[in-house]
Amino acid sequence: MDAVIRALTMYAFLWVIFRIAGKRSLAELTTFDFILMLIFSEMVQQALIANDNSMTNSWILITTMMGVQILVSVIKARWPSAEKVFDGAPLVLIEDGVIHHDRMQRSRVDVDDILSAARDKQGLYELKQIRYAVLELSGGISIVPQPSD
Amino acid sequence: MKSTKLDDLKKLPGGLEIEQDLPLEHRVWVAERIGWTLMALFVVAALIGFLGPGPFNDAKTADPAGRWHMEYERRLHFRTDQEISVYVGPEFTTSGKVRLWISQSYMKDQSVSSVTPTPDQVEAGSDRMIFTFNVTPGHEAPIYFELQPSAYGPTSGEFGLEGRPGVRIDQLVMP
Repeated sequence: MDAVIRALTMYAFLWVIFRIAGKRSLAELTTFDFILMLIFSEMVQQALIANDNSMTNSWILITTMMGVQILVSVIKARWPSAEKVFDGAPLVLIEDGVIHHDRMQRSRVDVDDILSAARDKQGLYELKQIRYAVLELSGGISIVPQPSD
Repeated sequence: MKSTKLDDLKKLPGGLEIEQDLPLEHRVWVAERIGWTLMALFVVAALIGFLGPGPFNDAKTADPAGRWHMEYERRLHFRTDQEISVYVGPEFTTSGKVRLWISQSYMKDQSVSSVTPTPDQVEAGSDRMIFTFNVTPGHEAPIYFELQPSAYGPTSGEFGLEGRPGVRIDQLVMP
């Protein structure tokens, strides 16, 4: 019972902490972000295992976490509004050539981030070439270019 | 699920099909800021010892006559060593032996990592565990216990010298 409670508690805690951190927190993994992730996994692992190194304990933990993951996916599929609560929704930052500075500021995205995504994904080099810029659930920015005349 | 006409999908004025939800986004932003504040408070609480080791975590207590005293931690972490230091005054060490008891209800949820000095004898009574130590006669005797809690939640225990009333400590074991 203890292992199940530990797994459920840790799942909920990780969900809350990453939801609070926002979409942009781990959008593009830098080397340091990657190291942080490794440290997190080590800390979580120790708390989950709690001196019980048996295979049974690992089976209980994995089954519980996978079970919750399946349950959450079923809930999200059945109720689209739940999906938005669990994962958030995409956010339009540039809309038909109009820049939404307030949304960018709150989402911790600046013009340089958009230009970087535009260069990287579409080979664009200035803002006026962008029709839509969307902050996706993954934290990445997708770019739709202005139609060419 | 019924079929949906492609023309019925949500579109922005410019034609972008997207499930954007600005009211929800606004609520998420507010929740994020509240979450950041709570995270900051959590870290401050950890720094000052409300969640474990730190300045506000250390506590002292003594027997009513002040002849022996002990230091302990108020908030413990599950399966992590805590140190309890008992200082027995010279009045109780004249025989070269100190008999210190700890309530059995407390010891039930603690595993003993170490006791310094090593007890000469340990006796299990019905409601208390009695440790007998060899000490230098006529000098204060410090005794250190390293105990590891094995159950969550509030816990309390009584410590005392044989023949004298015990002193109660209250602790919280955090998961």
